[in-house]
Amino acid sequence: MSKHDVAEIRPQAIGQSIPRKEDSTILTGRGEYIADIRLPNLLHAVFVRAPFAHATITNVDVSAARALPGVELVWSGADVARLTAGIPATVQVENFALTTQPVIARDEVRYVGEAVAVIVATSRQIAEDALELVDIDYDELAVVANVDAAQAAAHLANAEVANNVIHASVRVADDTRAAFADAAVTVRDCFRNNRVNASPIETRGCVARHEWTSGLITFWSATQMPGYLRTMLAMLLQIPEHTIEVITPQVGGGFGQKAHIHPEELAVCLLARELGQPVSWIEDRQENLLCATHAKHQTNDMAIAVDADGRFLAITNHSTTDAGAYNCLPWTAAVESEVGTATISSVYKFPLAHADAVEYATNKTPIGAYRGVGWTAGQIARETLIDRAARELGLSPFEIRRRNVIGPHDFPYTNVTGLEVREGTFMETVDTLERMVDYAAFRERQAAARAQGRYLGLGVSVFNELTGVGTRSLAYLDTPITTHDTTTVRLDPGGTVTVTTSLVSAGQGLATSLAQVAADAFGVPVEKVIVRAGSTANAYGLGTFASRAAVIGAGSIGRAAEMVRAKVRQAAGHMLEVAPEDIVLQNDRVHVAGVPTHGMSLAEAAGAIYFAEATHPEGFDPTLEATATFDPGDNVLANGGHAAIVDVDIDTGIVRVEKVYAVEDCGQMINPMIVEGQIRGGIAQAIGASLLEELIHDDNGQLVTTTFQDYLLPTTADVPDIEIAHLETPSTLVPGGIKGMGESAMISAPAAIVGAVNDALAPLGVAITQFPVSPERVYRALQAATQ
Amino acid sequence: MNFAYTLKLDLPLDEAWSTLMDIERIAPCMPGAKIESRDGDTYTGRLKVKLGPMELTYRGDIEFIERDDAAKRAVVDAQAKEIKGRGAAKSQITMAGMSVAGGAEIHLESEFSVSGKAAQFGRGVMEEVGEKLMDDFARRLGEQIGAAAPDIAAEATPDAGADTAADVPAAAPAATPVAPAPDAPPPAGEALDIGGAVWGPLLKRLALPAVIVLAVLAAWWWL
Repeated sequence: MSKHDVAEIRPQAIGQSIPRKEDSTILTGRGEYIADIRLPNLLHAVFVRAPFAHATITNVDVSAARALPGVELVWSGADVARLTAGIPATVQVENFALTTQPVIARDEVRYVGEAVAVIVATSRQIAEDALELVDIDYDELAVVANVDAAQAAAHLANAEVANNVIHASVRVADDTRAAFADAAVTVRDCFRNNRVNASPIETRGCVARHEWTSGLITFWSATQMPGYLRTMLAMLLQIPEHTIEVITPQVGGGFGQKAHIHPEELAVCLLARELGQPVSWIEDRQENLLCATHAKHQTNDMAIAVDADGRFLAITNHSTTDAGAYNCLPWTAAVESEVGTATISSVYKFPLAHADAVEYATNKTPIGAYRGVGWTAGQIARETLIDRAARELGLSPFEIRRRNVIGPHDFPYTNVTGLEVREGTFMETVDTLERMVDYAAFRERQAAARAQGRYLGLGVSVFNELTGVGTRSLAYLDTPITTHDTTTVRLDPGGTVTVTTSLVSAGQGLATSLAQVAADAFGVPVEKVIVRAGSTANAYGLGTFASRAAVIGAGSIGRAAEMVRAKVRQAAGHMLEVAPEDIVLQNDRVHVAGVPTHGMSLAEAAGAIYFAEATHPEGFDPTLEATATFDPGDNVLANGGHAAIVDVDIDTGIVRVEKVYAVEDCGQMINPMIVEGQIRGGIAQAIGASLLEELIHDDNGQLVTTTFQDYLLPTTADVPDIEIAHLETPSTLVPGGIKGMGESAMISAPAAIVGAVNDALAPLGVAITQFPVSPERVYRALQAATQ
Repeated sequence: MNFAYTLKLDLPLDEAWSTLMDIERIAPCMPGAKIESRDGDTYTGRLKVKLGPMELTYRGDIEFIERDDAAKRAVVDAQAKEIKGRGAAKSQITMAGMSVAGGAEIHLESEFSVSGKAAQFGRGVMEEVGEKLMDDFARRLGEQIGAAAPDIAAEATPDAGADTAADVPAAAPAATPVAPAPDAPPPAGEALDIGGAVWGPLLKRLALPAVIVLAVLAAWWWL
């Protein structure tokens, strides 16, 4: 038996759009989030934040803050440094800089918003008043405000990072010179992506309680990685791991931002132990925009060589990340450009490639994971250049892709970055999108609109995605981490099923989709299954991120259920006087295969095993619960594509998204409604990331977009009709043929939107390569083109 | 960031210019400002600003780095730190005077950067706060030289023009509680309370959504 074993699950509840079990709690406002947790004697923490991007701390005076009535404790960096060295993070590969982020900065601050002191008081209001009384002297240091300054290396953003280079890597280094020399068409450009914030509706937060009598710590956190957080609290704070329970109550969205170990979490845990009273911290929106991990800030200098038939000859890409002052834990600065570089050829047959990445340290908030991690920027660059090549060759955007995607006869295909692609409906995706868009009709409509001075555009993007990310996928992405998450299942005496998992539901409906899987694993109706999640008292796992929970959940539930089913078959076989192999569990019954009447209800079988020893076979072990782990045996590749139609107002520069089409192939869907919800949510975020959202820093590294007035999130008014089609290539690596898909729209839809803007503006000789595509950028590009 | 402002004084240019160059005399015209000491062309002073519930006190130096009284051109460098370490401000102000019909016009152009708390209020707010600061300064300057010339016309020209939302008519009933600009300037030395200046732009942006919310409420009421 291995952790890769694929248990048999026959889809029955799987595939149904059943209403989500969690919605009655969430929709009636009864969900308990971090800020809802009220404990006796609860204290409140606030963090004093650095006003400078880079400065030496010369003096900290917290005496006035400490003297304020209601203030229980004030810590500066020196107080915390006695207890922990902070958060070290690196990747175990050569020349990858190790950074150690202090929990509270002591001698030096390296980004605006870095914590420099923490105040605990009897109320949030008092704590915030005390914050005004903390007196800190700084001497400003030279700021490494962006990648240009980091490359110049006149100053270091963080003395731990030599030359400001956290890591430089070459993923593939073919000689592409001849290919480019022979190319009929070469398309090349430099694409500058924006720095964005995942902006979950619930900001980061945690509550810690330490019982001095038992030594037990209970730690509530809005985290996607409770098991990993528990291990890190233990390691970094020198607390025995078994004395810590991490609980995730309702989590109000994570999108990757909550898949990190945050310094504030370590501080709050230490504070509760120090004070002997529970301590709560919830950040406000300004703090979240300022100092929760930022994302997606890549620049890609890409070129594609194409022959006269529109076939790709080679791709080159140089990707850089503006990574901020520290590596985030666990993903590090590699999370953007290195993931992007490893997946740069996507679903296409590029014979040759040269792709490298450099992550630069800057005096900004650390870069971290956000849905579509690493992929988004490279996808935008590649798909935009493919469209441009198609225009130059007079091909349709669908035709050029058809000529280059890995086709049904090519499998297994090892792509240019070393990924073995065994399956995927790339050709069908292109065909389906073309039908949905009604390409010929669109071009006619576009021409008619242009005649009236309106500029419509069509963008297309196809992709595949590493989902259910486990050990194999992480190794492929040059992040050598071993993972396998466990689930426990129990067949209860009354024939119901209790599943306890380490996976976290952050609003995406896991309690429902995993119940559907468990229902089919035991052949019971979904109502007879409960999925309990949210405490490390149950099972261990790395967490919910990287489109992995459906895959890991199905795999581990399947394996654990098989162990319990074997017991039921053994007992029922004995009772029915047939061999255990002839027993099946289905339709809430246990019976002889092919003879449903020769059997009993599952409840009767369970009852007999629990309470009637006389029915047991000789030497029977009646344990009806099992714990199993799962890690997919290889990369689980889902795929799909997007098309977008936009209307660009060339007078105002405003881009309106008229329609988005999505094609998704995530194998067997567990719950189509949930799948479509993930697609729609991801498309809304894609519109934000490509048209609206931008964290803007001034030359001093000062973030100037710290409210939702300046950092523009999409609203319902910005999100158009979305039409979704499904393809189905079941995975052989996961029970039920399931694949992950949570990130798909944020991988690929931004490229479709950007492509559509460029298609609209192409007749005016304008190309937009800096994002978001704000009205100002469109306006300036049009001005530049007409001069 | 940039900020531009034109001050019109009903004074002959020479007189207007010499008034403006007298830092110790005009400093009290800046709300919340106070000159503490002088060393040649360098002045040390403080500026107290109330931003809603926050009170920030900046202390720093003002220095003439260029001054040509004949050409009526001067460049002033100002650098200040918030005394509790909550940020800093740096500014270079270029002043140029010219005669116009009926008096003098002084063009002020400032390149400035603000860090910390104040910077995090966002760009639109910064512009409007700067504008209010200069409006108050111009009014007080007018009073300073009031005996000689009571009429002051001031006109702000924030150059960025990024604040498109400010064009939204502030007609919503929700917008009415905006504190009107005080008729009389606060006494010299008192902290400039720009709470009103902060809320003004915020409410202007809220005006449209507020109208929508009211419309929805009205529709719901009639259903």
